[in-house]
Amino acid sequence: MNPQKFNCKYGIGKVLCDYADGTIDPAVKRIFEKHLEGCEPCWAFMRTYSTTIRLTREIPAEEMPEEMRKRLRNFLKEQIGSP
Amino acid sequence: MSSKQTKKRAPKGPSDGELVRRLKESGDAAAFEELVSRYEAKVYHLALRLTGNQQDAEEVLQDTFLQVYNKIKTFRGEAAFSSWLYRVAANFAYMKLRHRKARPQVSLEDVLPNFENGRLVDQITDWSGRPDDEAVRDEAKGIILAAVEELPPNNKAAFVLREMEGLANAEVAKILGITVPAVKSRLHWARLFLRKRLAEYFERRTE
Repeated sequence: MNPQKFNCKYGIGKVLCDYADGTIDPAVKRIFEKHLEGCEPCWAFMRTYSTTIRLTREIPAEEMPEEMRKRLRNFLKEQIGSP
Repeated sequence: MSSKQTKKRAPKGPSDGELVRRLKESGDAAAFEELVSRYEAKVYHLALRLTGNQQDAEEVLQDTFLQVYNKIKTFRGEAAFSSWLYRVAANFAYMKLRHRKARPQVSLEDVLPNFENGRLVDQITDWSGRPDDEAVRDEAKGIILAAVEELPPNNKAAFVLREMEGLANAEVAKILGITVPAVKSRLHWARLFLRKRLAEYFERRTE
């Protein structure tokens, strides 16, 4: 990756996903962070993208209704005699 | 099963592999019951997120475990049992989605901001600190759940498995039968779409 050719579109389109996941190549990370330091819109975009991920991961799993567990067992019993 | 947990806790009792072996070799009902108990909530949650409604999720749940029982002999054990199970569940959920009226497709360009000569030209508001307020955070999560329902099936599956079920990209790739770069691409698109919906929400709140 040539730092001279690095721009907002490349950063947001091609780098941001790995950057947010912490799986980015260290050399590319340095270039991206250098870009973020000097680019307010990209900085705001990166922050809001990361917040989107954080909020999504905070959404709790919905409990499986107890009645559904019973219906699953009844269904399997009818179909195969188990469990 | 979830990478959100720093360490996977091994289930108490026999391993999945041991239960699968018993089920394969002798149709062991107790082994099947243990597999059902171990994974029913996870399969339900995946099915609910993919189909978006409880009735379809329940049908996916039932079809998945029936299929597991009937096809267990075809499971060769090359991948983890949980990956195979998730793939079965995801396929049943896909079938439900395919019968629905297709939504208008949104392209990558539609979820990206505007660039001129590679330079971001939109004014981007940094609302990342706003969900610190609990009420706002809850409302924002509602926006996310509604936006997940709008995702095209391929993006939705990658997003749900990775972001909501906490699986690693490599595992999502195996389940969906696609490459890791394809998983990342679908995931990124979905995140951009959800981010856009949240940005619209925060913009409305400030009006």
